[in-house]
Amino acid sequence: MVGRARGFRAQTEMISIMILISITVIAGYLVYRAYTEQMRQQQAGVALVSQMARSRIAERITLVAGYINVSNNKVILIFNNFGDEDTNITKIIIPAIKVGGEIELMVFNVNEKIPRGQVKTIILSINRKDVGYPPGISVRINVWTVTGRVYSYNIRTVG
Amino acid sequence: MITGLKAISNYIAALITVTMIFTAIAFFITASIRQVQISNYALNTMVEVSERARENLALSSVINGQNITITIVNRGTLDTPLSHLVIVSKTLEVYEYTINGTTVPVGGIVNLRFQLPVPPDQIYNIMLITYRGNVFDVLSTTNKPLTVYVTPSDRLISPGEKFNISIVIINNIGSTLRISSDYIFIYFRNETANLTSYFVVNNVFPDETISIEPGQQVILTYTYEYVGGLSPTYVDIYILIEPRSLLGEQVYSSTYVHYYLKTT
Repeated sequence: MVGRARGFRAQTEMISIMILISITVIAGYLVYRAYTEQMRQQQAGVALVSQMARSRIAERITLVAGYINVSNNKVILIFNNFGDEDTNITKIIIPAIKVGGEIELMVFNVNEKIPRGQVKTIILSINRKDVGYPPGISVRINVWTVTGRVYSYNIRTVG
Repeated sequence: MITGLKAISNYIAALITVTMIFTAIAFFITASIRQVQISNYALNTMVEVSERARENLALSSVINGQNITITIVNRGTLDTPLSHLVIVSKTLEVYEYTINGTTVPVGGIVNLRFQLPVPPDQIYNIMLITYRGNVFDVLSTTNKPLTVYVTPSDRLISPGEKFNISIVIINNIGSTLRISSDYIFIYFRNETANLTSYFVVNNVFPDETISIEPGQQVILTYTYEYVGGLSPTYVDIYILIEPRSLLGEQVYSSTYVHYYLKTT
């Protein structure tokens, strides 16, 4: 009788230990998965921020020359990419003078890629009839790139 | 056996803990390496930006027919690699020329020759771009290798009359230049024709090769005789100067004076 009771206790203890091990394995696995997932996301975040920082540092462009041809309402912008990576110009804002003398900002959404080490000419057309430029004035334009940087340049009217 | 089984859960917990510690260390090391890489890259970029500010080129150009010769003198403290030449016509057409591979050494002189894509009077602007991103105006430069002044002894010239042309040449580059009359070419013109054959050189002073140091000047005096044969006309003068550096490099510069003198 006593021997049977001991055997029963031993079996019970064995089962409880097996349950404990199972709980430890499952809980440990869940904790480890959550931890590694968090680490992975943090790594991805750090990599993304590093890439963004690198892209911003690598981006170096300059406007070689810029003209507004008032005879045909074309804007000619000559860019030089002397940075370490190709860059994309996404938006160009050019102020214009409306009939009546008000200044209006014209937004040109473009997607012009300037390869590294290359010179590229971007030609924009001003199709609006209610804006213009007095001859000989200097116009300050803003240029957005894909990295979010904004460059300001003075261009002049010709024609 | 039961004791051994009890220890397994502890082993598993320890294994998970050790793994998490090593993962954290690996993450820390990776993040640090990335940070160091970015810092080094930013530092290199700052050096490049500061080098860009140290570029200093003196430019002059001579247009001969449909060709242009651009003399580039490096007055800065860095070798300057060139990247592109951009020519803009008066109709605002843009012509780009890639000149990668040409570097102007410190104190050195490089001549670039190009065929103009449009007639010279249709040129609006010519710009030279360096590899570091600087843009230099070729035609409207204020920092030329040579400064040249030309003065006549007389403005109204009769047939058979002698007159002097004094040419003042100032060396603006950072090295010695050798100048002689062999390197100077003088042409007389009016609006319609080349009149050089109507003027004969009698004398040049000095007639030997002269070395002028940086910042120094020399005056050469040419004595010409007008042989006659022209109806009264205004005469322009075009002077092409091609002095040599001590290394034999050639500097091209020119000057054009309208209404320089009048024949009677």
